[in-house]
Amino acid sequence: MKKKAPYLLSIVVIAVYMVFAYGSGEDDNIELNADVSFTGTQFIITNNDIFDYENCRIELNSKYLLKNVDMDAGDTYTVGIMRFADKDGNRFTLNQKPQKLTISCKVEGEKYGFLYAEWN
Amino acid sequence: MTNVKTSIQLVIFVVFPMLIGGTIYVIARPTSIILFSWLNDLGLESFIISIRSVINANDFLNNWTIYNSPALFWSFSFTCFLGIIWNCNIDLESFSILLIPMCSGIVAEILQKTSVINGTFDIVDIRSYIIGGLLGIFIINHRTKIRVT
Repeated sequence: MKKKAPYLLSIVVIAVYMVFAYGSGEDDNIELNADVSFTGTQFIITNNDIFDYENCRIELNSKYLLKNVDMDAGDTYTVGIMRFADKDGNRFTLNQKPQKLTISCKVEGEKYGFLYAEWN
Repeated sequence: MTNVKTSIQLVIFVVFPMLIGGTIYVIARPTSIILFSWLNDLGLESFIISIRSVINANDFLNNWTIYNSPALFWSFSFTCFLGIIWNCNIDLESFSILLIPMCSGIVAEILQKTSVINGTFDIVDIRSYIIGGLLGIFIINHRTKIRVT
Protein backbone atom coordinates (compact mmCIF):
# COMPACT_ATOMS: atom_id res chain seq x y z
CA MET A 1 0.00 0.00 0.00
CA LYS A 2 2.91 2.33 0.82
CA LYS A 3 4.22 1.90 -2.69
CA LYS A 4 0.98 2.93 -4.35
CA ALA A 5 2.14 6.53 -4.87
CA PRO A 6 5.44 5.65 -6.63
CA TYR A 7 3.57 3.26 -8.91
CA LEU A 8 0.95 5.87 -9.81
CA LEU A 9 3.60 8.54 -10.36
CA SER A 10 5.63 6.13 -12.47
CA ILE A 11 2.62 5.46 -14.68
CA VAL A 12 2.08 9.21 -15.18
CA VAL A 13 5.77 9.77 -15.98
CA ILE A 14 5.82 6.83 -18.39
CA ALA A 15 2.76 8.25 -20.17
CA VAL A 16 4.33 11.71 -20.45
CA TYR A 17 7.61 10.35 -21.86
CA MET A 18 5.70 8.18 -24.32
CA VAL A 19 3.93 11.31 -25.58
CA PHE A 20 7.35 12.96 -26.07
CA ALA A 21 8.54 9.88 -27.93
CA TYR A 22 5.42 9.93 -30.10
CA GLY A 23 6.06 13.61 -30.91
CA SER A 24 9.49 12.75 -32.20
CA GLY A 25 8.01 10.35 -34.74
CA GLU A 26 7.73 11.05 -38.43
CA ASP A 27 4.67 12.92 -39.59
CA ASP A 28 3.48 13.72 -43.06
CA ASN A 29 4.59 17.36 -42.91
CA ILE A 30 6.26 18.61 -46.07
CA GLU A 31 8.22 21.54 -47.35
CA LEU A 32 6.17 23.61 -49.77
CA ASN A 33 7.47 23.86 -53.30
CA ALA A 34 6.61 27.51 -53.87
CA ASP A 35 8.39 30.54 -55.31
CA VAL A 36 8.22 33.78 -53.40
CA SER A 37 9.44 37.10 -54.74
CA PHE A 38 8.98 40.68 -53.61
CA THR A 39 8.34 43.53 -56.03
CA GLY A 40 8.68 46.37 -53.55
CA THR A 41 4.99 46.65 -52.79
CA GLN A 42 3.73 43.08 -53.05
CA PHE A 43 4.69 39.46 -52.79
CA ILE A 44 4.33 37.15 -55.75
CA ILE A 45 3.77 33.60 -54.54
CA THR A 46 3.58 30.69 -56.95
CA ASN A 47 2.32 27.30 -55.82
CA ASN A 48 4.53 24.88 -57.75
CA ASP A 49 3.04 21.83 -56.06
CA ILE A 50 0.42 19.58 -57.57
CA PHE A 51 -1.89 20.11 -54.58
CA ASP A 52 -3.69 23.14 -53.19
CA TYR A 53 -2.48 25.13 -50.20
CA GLU A 54 -5.37 25.68 -47.82
CA ASN A 55 -5.93 27.93 -44.87
CA CYS A 56 -2.42 29.36 -45.15
CA ARG A 57 -0.96 31.50 -42.44
CA ILE A 58 1.63 33.92 -43.82
CA GLU A 59 3.84 35.73 -41.34
CA LEU A 60 6.07 38.66 -42.24
CA ASN A 61 9.11 39.61 -40.14
CA SER A 62 7.82 37.31 -37.36
CA LYS A 63 5.21 39.92 -36.45
CA TYR A 64 2.78 40.77 -39.23
CA LEU A 65 0.19 38.18 -40.16
CA LEU A 66 -2.12 37.28 -42.99
CA LYS A 67 -4.44 34.35 -42.33
CA ASN A 68 -6.83 32.10 -44.21
CA VAL A 69 -5.19 32.33 -47.63
CA ASP A 70 -5.90 29.58 -50.15
CA MET A 71 -3.61 28.95 -53.12
CA ASP A 72 -4.57 26.52 -55.82
CA ALA A 73 -2.00 24.18 -57.32
CA GLY A 74 0.02 25.78 -60.10
CA ASP A 75 -1.43 29.26 -59.59
CA THR A 76 0.37 32.51 -58.82
CA TYR A 77 -0.91 34.88 -56.16
CA THR A 78 -0.20 38.50 -55.50
CA VAL A 79 -0.31 39.62 -51.90
CA GLY A 80 -0.09 43.35 -51.20
CA ILE A 81 2.33 44.20 -48.43
CA MET A 82 -0.24 46.34 -46.66
CA ARG A 83 -2.55 43.38 -46.16
CA PHE A 84 -0.27 42.24 -43.32
CA ALA A 85 -1.13 43.45 -39.82
CA ASP A 86 0.26 42.78 -36.36
CA LYS A 87 -1.82 41.57 -33.40
CA ASP A 88 -2.71 45.18 -32.51
CA GLY A 89 -4.05 45.81 -35.99
CA ASN A 90 -1.10 47.94 -37.16
CA ARG A 91 -0.46 47.46 -40.87
CA PHE A 92 2.91 46.75 -42.40
CA THR A 93 3.86 49.97 -44.22
CA LEU A 94 5.78 50.64 -47.40
CA ASN A 95 8.49 52.27 -45.28
CA GLN A 96 9.27 48.96 -43.62
CA LYS A 97 11.55 46.37 -45.13
CA PRO A 98 10.43 42.75 -45.51
CA GLN A 99 13.16 40.51 -44.17
CA LYS A 100 11.59 37.12 -43.63
CA LEU A 101 8.39 35.43 -44.63
CA THR A 102 7.06 32.13 -43.35
CA ILE A 103 4.14 30.29 -44.87
CA SER A 104 2.36 27.37 -43.24
CA CYS A 105 -0.65 25.72 -44.87
CA LYS A 106 -2.85 22.68 -44.63
CA VAL A 107 -2.11 20.44 -47.58
CA GLU A 108 -3.61 17.21 -48.81
CA GLY A 109 -6.04 16.89 -45.95
CA GLU A 110 -4.44 16.94 -42.52
CA LYS A 111 -0.78 17.42 -43.45
CA TYR A 112 1.07 20.67 -42.88
CA GLY A 113 3.38 22.34 -45.36
CA PHE A 114 6.00 24.96 -44.49
CA LEU A 115 8.07 27.48 -46.40
CA TYR A 116 10.56 30.07 -45.25
CA ALA A 117 11.96 32.92 -47.33
CA GLU A 118 14.22 35.80 -46.41
CA TRP A 119 15.64 38.91 -48.02
CA ASN A 120 18.73 40.89 -47.12
CA MET B 1 15.84 19.98 2.71
CA THR B 2 14.89 16.71 1.04
CA ASN B 3 12.45 18.61 -1.18
CA VAL B 4 15.20 21.03 -2.21
CA LYS B 5 17.55 18.15 -3.01
CA THR B 6 14.84 16.40 -4.99
CA SER B 7 14.09 19.59 -6.90
CA ILE B 8 17.76 20.07 -7.75
CA GLN B 9 18.00 16.45 -8.89
CA LEU B 10 14.89 16.90 -11.03
CA VAL B 11 16.32 20.00 -12.71
CA ILE B 12 19.80 18.57 -13.32
CA PHE B 13 18.96 14.99 -14.25
CA VAL B 14 15.44 15.27 -15.68
CA VAL B 15 14.53 18.73 -16.96
CA PHE B 16 17.94 19.79 -18.26
CA PRO B 17 18.57 16.69 -20.43
CA MET B 18 15.03 16.92 -21.83
CA LEU B 19 15.57 20.59 -22.64
CA ILE B 20 18.78 19.77 -24.51
CA GLY B 21 17.13 16.91 -26.43
CA GLY B 22 14.02 18.97 -27.13
CA THR B 23 16.06 21.93 -28.36
CA ILE B 24 17.99 19.69 -30.75
CA TYR B 25 14.68 18.43 -32.12
CA VAL B 26 13.24 21.90 -32.56
CA ILE B 27 16.26 23.56 -34.15
CA ALA B 28 17.84 20.77 -36.15
CA ARG B 29 15.48 17.94 -37.02
CA PRO B 30 13.46 17.97 -40.26
CA THR B 31 10.06 19.64 -39.99
CA SER B 32 8.44 16.36 -40.96
CA ILE B 33 8.14 15.21 -37.35
CA ILE B 34 4.90 15.24 -35.37
CA LEU B 35 6.28 17.82 -32.95
CA PHE B 36 6.06 20.43 -35.72
CA SER B 37 2.37 19.73 -36.21
CA TRP B 38 1.89 20.41 -32.49
CA LEU B 39 3.92 23.63 -32.71
CA ASN B 40 1.87 24.63 -35.74
CA ASP B 41 -1.35 24.01 -33.81
CA LEU B 42 0.03 26.32 -31.11
CA GLY B 43 0.80 29.00 -33.71
CA LEU B 44 4.55 28.77 -33.01
CA GLU B 45 5.72 27.47 -36.37
CA SER B 46 6.79 30.87 -37.75
CA PHE B 47 8.81 31.61 -34.62
CA ILE B 48 10.48 28.21 -34.70
CA ILE B 49 11.18 28.33 -38.43
CA SER B 50 12.76 31.78 -38.01
CA ILE B 51 14.97 30.52 -35.19
CA ARG B 52 16.01 27.51 -37.27
CA SER B 53 16.99 29.71 -40.20
CA VAL B 54 19.00 32.05 -37.98
CA ILE B 55 20.82 29.34 -36.03
CA ASN B 56 21.40 26.93 -38.94
CA ALA B 57 22.17 24.16 -36.45
CA ASN B 58 22.86 21.65 -39.21
CA ASP B 59 26.00 23.63 -40.06
CA PHE B 60 27.70 22.95 -36.74
CA LEU B 61 25.98 19.91 -35.22
CA ASN B 62 27.03 16.49 -36.47
CA ASN B 63 24.62 13.72 -37.42
CA TRP B 64 25.01 11.85 -34.14
CA THR B 65 24.08 14.94 -32.15
CA ILE B 66 21.06 15.67 -34.33
CA TYR B 67 19.70 12.19 -34.93
CA ASN B 68 20.89 10.01 -32.04
CA SER B 69 21.71 12.08 -28.97
CA PRO B 70 18.03 12.98 -28.27
CA ALA B 71 17.41 9.25 -27.68
CA LEU B 72 20.20 9.22 -25.10
CA PHE B 73 18.88 12.35 -23.37
CA TRP B 74 15.32 10.97 -23.40
CA SER B 75 16.35 7.60 -21.95
CA PHE B 76 18.63 9.21 -19.33
CA SER B 77 16.04 11.76 -18.21
CA PHE B 78 13.24 9.16 -18.17
CA THR B 79 15.33 6.71 -16.08
CA CYS B 80 16.43 9.40 -13.62
CA PHE B 81 12.84 10.64 -13.22
CA LEU B 82 11.64 7.13 -12.36
CA GLY B 83 14.62 6.69 -10.03
CA ILE B 84 13.82 9.91 -8.19
CA ILE B 85 10.18 8.83 -7.85
CA TRP B 86 11.46 5.63 -6.25
CA ASN B 87 13.56 7.75 -3.90
CA CYS B 88 16.84 6.68 -5.54
CA ASN B 89 16.36 3.35 -3.83
CA ILE B 90 17.43 0.46 -6.04
CA ASP B 91 15.93 -2.92 -5.22
CA LEU B 92 14.55 -5.62 -7.48
CA GLU B 93 11.19 -3.85 -7.79
CA SER B 94 12.51 -0.39 -8.61
CA PHE B 95 15.26 -1.80 -10.83
CA SER B 96 12.68 -3.43 -13.06
CA ILE B 97 10.89 -0.06 -13.29
CA LEU B 98 14.19 1.65 -14.19
CA LEU B 99 14.62 -0.72 -17.13
CA ILE B 100 11.36 0.51 -18.72
CA PRO B 101 12.89 3.52 -20.56
CA MET B 102 15.69 1.44 -22.06
CA CYS B 103 13.37 -1.43 -23.00
CA SER B 104 10.66 0.81 -24.45
CA GLY B 105 13.25 2.59 -26.61
CA ILE B 106 14.57 -0.73 -27.90
CA VAL B 107 11.04 -2.05 -28.52
CA ALA B 108 10.16 1.14 -30.41
CA GLU B 109 13.19 0.69 -32.68
CA ILE B 110 12.28 -2.95 -33.33
CA LEU B 111 8.71 -1.90 -34.18
CA GLN B 112 10.14 0.68 -36.58
CA LYS B 113 12.27 -1.97 -38.26
CA THR B 114 9.22 -4.19 -38.71
CA SER B 115 7.20 -1.18 -39.99
CA VAL B 116 4.62 -1.54 -37.23
CA ILE B 117 5.15 2.11 -36.31
CA ASN B 118 6.45 5.09 -38.31
CA GLY B 119 10.10 5.97 -38.13
CA THR B 120 13.52 4.88 -39.24
CA PHE B 121 15.25 1.98 -37.51
CA ASP B 122 18.71 2.95 -36.35
CA ILE B 123 21.06 0.66 -34.41
CA VAL B 124 22.83 3.74 -33.04
CA ASP B 125 19.52 4.83 -31.49
CA ILE B 126 19.35 1.48 -29.66
CA ARG B 127 22.86 2.07 -28.33
CA SER B 128 21.84 5.58 -27.28
CA TYR B 129 18.79 4.27 -25.40
CA ILE B 130 20.96 1.69 -23.62
CA ILE B 131 23.74 4.15 -22.75
CA GLY B 132 21.21 6.75 -21.55
CA GLY B 133 19.37 4.18 -19.44
CA LEU B 134 22.54 2.71 -17.92
CA LEU B 135 23.88 6.19 -17.21
CA GLY B 136 20.61 7.01 -15.47
CA ILE B 137 20.78 3.84 -13.38
CA PHE B 138 24.41 4.64 -12.53
CA ILE B 139 23.44 8.15 -11.39
CA ILE B 140 20.52 6.82 -9.32
CA ASN B 141 22.73 4.10 -7.81
CA HIS B 142 25.42 6.69 -7.06
CA ARG B 143 22.83 8.89 -5.36
CA THR B 144 21.81 5.89 -3.24
CA LYS B 145 25.36 5.32 -2.06
CA ILE B 146 26.05 8.92 -1.09
CA ARG B 147 22.61 9.55 0.39
CA VAL B 148 22.76 10.67 3.98
CA THR B 149 20.12 8.86 5.96
